[in-house]
Amino acid sequence: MTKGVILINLKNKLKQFRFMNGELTQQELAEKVSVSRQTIIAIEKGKFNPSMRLALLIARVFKVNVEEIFYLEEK
Amino acid sequence: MKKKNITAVVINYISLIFVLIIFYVVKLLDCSKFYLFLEIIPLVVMRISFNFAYHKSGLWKFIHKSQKTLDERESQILYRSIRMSYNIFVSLCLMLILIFAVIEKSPIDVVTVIWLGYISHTLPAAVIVFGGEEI
Repeated sequence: MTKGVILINLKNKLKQFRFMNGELTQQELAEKVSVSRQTIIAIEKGKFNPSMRLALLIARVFKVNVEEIFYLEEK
Repeated sequence: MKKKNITAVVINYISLIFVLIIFYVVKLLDCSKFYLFLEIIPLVVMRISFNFAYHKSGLWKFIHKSQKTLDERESQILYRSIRMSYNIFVSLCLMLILIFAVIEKSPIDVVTVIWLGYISHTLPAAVIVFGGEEI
């Protein structure tokens, strides 16, 4: 590991937000932001980092700021 | 990607190898064309495994989708698989050209073109299967 490099992961509270908003299913959210259900699954599991555009679209669905759903966490 | 998909892809390529071995052995050793009927067995296995590996999994449809219909994650998966497939395919082609350059009786024929075409179309899906990514 290179000295001085801080590992920062992008985390999200997408699952919580889906349940807080009328138990929105992954499929319903996927349709609202025009991606596949597998993409929503991958985001929730932290396997895929969405683009700024997609993150903003997801935040718009839940009517919150993007930082409330997506946040950085130092390893 | 499920383990059974990986098995199906491996079986598919192994059956392709058997099809080619039988074809070239019959051709190069000038055996009776009757032996070509042996091709039926690996061809049937290849067809069945193709169904499991690429058709039922939706990978065949996925890798032949228009770029416009893919979302950003799918585009990334496809880009990575095509990049890897390109490397494998180019290596295969260069190896073939090298072999043909060394041997006198060049076996370039329509079967070579067909199997190279088959590999080029199925490799991106196979790479996704081995990468373990869901589509």
